[in-house]
Amino acid sequence: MTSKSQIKDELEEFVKLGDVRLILSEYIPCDRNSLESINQKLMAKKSMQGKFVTMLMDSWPERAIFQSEKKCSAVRIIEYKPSEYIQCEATMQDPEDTIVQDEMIGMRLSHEGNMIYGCRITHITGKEIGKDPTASLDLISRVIPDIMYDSSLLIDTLLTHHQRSILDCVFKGTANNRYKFVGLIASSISPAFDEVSLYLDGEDYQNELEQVLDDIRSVQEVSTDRTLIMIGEGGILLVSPDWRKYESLVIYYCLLRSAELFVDALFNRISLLNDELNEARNLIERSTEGDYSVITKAQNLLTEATANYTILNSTGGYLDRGFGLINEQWSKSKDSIDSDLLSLVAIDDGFMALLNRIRDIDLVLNSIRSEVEGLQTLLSTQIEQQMRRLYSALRDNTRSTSEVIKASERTGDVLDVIQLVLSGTIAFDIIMAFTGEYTTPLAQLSLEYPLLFFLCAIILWVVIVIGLKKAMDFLGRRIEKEHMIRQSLNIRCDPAKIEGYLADKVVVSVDEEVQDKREVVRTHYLFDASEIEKATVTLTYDRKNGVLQDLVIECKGTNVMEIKRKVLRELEECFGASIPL
Amino acid sequence: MFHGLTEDMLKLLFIISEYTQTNDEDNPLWIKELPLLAIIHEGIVKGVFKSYDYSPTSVPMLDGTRRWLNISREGKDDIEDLINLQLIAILRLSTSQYGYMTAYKPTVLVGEVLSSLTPELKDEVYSLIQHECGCNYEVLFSPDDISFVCSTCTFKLETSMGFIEDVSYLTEPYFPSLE
Repeated sequence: MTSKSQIKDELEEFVKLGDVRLILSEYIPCDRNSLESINQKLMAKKSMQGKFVTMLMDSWPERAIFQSEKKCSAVRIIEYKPSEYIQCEATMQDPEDTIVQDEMIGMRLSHEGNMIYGCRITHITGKEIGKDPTASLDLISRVIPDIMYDSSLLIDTLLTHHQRSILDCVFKGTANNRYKFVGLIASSISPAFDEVSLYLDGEDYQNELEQVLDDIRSVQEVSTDRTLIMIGEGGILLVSPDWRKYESLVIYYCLLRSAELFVDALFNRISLLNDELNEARNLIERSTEGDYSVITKAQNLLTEATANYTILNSTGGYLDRGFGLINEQWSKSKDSIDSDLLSLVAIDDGFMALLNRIRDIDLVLNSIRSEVEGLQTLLSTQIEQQMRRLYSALRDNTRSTSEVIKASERTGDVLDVIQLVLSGTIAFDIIMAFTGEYTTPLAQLSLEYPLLFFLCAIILWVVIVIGLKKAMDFLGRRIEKEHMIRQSLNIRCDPAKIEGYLADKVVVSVDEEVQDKREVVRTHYLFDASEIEKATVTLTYDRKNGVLQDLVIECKGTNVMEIKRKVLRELEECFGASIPL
Repeated sequence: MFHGLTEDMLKLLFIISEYTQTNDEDNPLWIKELPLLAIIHEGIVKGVFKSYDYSPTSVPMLDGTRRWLNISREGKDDIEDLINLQLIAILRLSTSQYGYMTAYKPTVLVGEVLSSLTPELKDEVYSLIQHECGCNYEVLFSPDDISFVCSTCTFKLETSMGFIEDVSYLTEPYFPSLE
């Protein structure tokens, strides 16, 4: 490994800092129990040094060997207060590094959710960084992403599964690339301008400062002790010989801004969740229009969106609690900070604005909850309707199958009769094999009166046929037949009258299929044709358009036509109009 | 008329004008900021932009995620200067992923400036934005792939914009005080 750099470009270094401390701040939803879980992972109560931690789970607890990943972080607890905070130092191990990067960072994890990573940069590209300004911003800007990324990997190994799920959801699966607000504290700067506005030259100095701070919002100076504060979109730089005096201000400012970054990401994710719900709604609407193939896709999408909503909703609660507590801490700590500087940084207003934003996030989440519930109901209705259609198709299919079976049974009866006739014939043939052909005195008649003989044979054949037919009918009557008649009607009617008619009936079940342009109602009811005979009638009508669509009569027995006439007569009386048979 | 334009600013202006040329006046073309910054980065690596350098910056991508990219602050600053000189127009628009995007196109004032460009300067820019076949590269910009593509020759050149160069450093833990 070498103490050099991979930079190919020739850097023009304009601004340099001395005695540089780097702070990275981020907000991660946390609570006392999550912090206690991290405590247990780090064995905070035992004084063992240099523990390695990994985010991998042991899937084979019964095995003696565990295979970890290449990168492991070594963590040493420095200080902790149960359920309040943990302070530890950590080292990232990366065997793939070809360049010396000895990263030892301090970490402070608190139950409110603020995570602070801090380090003092002692060497860059082999050069020692002392009190004199020798660390160029060009080089510091290359150290920051490295520590930011590695600290994400490091904290990932410590977080609970739930916290990782939240980060994964909020940052859309790229949690390791999340940005942390940068705080830079230095005791000296070069060039040290008397007039701070010279740093905002719009050219080289400003460009270099913006490499680490992003677009600069303001540059302020506390004239009493030559303290300089520069605030950018992505970071804050404090340069002061007496920097300890302003340290807590920088930290609270970093906490505030990192929470803003988290709320930005959360709001963006909520907007995307809204899109996911819209897509689910579109699919459900397509299914109501008859495209049932999309129901499964809608179901999957809605399930995923609901899971994401649950995660985001819990995040809102964490933010509310966490920043309420941090704000209380800030209220106690700010008394020790110079009031002029406080007003310049406007940190109080920032906290108020942030708390208001967090409350507004709750509003958005509440509206999304209503949307999720609405879509779930809509989808359930669609699934129920599809089940009804399936049930209806299944019932028709079963009925057809039943008819086929009955027809087959009747054919079997016929074959039984034919078998009996044939067995008689065979019996006579066997007898005749012993006795031979024989003649009776009547045999002469066929020769003398051939026409009469023929007529007698025909009459005998007819008698036998009738006899067999009667026998078949007798057998058929033994099986009670089920009849079904479907009559298409498609006539205009008053739905109120149909419902009035049905009110007097014994209704077995009602299926309703509500769509944009129609409301199809299928009512199954019992019809008393006589004291003995009963039929099941299914009346289908479109309630919205007032159309009587069809009628299905199912009954046992043979007089189904009679029942149909009775049903239609009743309907005619009900509507006062004739219905064609 | 436009005094104070540096050579790099002229090159930048020429690149923007090359990528936004169209005959359709009703539907003008705009070059998006991130692809333009990718061209600038490639220009720094190839030595076309002599006064620029780059540094890693966490950039919100079009899909709402973030990625560390080598961005030239000097390049961005010159774009702002060109906007202030009214040589390029700026367009802000929302993306489908609830992010925001910036795009640029030259204004009518650019014609005068570009007419004064030397052939050498143009050739230098062409060596950056054109493939050997003479066609302008298209810049593909996605979270996973930032590359220059010549659609005529199906040639693809991957940029090093997403490769963050390491520097060696040593740090020691620092625990800031909240009191």
